[in-house]
Amino acid sequence: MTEALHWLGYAFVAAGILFFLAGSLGLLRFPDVFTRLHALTKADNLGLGLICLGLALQASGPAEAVKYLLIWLLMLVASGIGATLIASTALACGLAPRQADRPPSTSTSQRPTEQ
Amino acid sequence: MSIRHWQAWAWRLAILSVLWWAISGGDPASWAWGVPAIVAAAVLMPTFNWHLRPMALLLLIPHALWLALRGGLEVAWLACRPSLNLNTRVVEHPWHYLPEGPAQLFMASLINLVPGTLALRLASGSLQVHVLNLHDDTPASLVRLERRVAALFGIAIDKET
Repeated sequence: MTEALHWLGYAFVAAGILFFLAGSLGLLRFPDVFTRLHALTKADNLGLGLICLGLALQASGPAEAVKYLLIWLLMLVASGIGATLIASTALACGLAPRQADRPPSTSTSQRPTEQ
Repeated sequence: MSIRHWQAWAWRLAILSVLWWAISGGDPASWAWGVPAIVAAAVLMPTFNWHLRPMALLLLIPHALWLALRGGLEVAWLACRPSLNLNTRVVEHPWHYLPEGPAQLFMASLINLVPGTLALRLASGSLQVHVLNLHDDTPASLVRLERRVAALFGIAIDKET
């Protein structure tokens, strides 16, 4: 049972690392500060959640498991509020979000193809 | 001293005790410091003049986790796929139900969990939302989320839209 929980924990941590990688890729690839904030708040929060969940499954006791989940909860609150503060400050400083009003030259349709 | 007042105190002490138990790793000797710290924190904590509905909170937590999962998956997919063709927009979300104050602030932070949305600016009549990849149902899902937050804060909902 404990063995199985340990392996499940490893699986969660591995999945979390993948989301961190995807979030970092988004940070590099997305065009402006607002879209980059999306990458940081969404993908990294989920990645951290999975890592904390994986570590909680491997924890030596319930108190330690609660501590890991508490870390995630505080991170969620901090990054949710922080993202909005950064975005509204950027807006107030005159950075305009890049919008897809006309389709970029490489694409033929404005609608996203996948739903 | 109303019942409600005592209830608030009991909740506060219970939550702080759980926090101390988690932080101290459940070590019994730590309660010698823990109890004074808990009481001091409970006394110094700012009081909130709003009350959350416990049932609505229990319902909201799995929903918020589900939104976080979908949001993370969507952004990860958008970041990893070869063509970076984003339908990025800024939309105005007019407030349907929530009054000004903590409920709107709570909604604004929760919006950052909804797949592909980021709260930009809190205006008096509406909320500016940055949408990474606009879908047809994004505005509707914002209204649904607002209805859930209204239920959480115990705000009556008129049945229009």
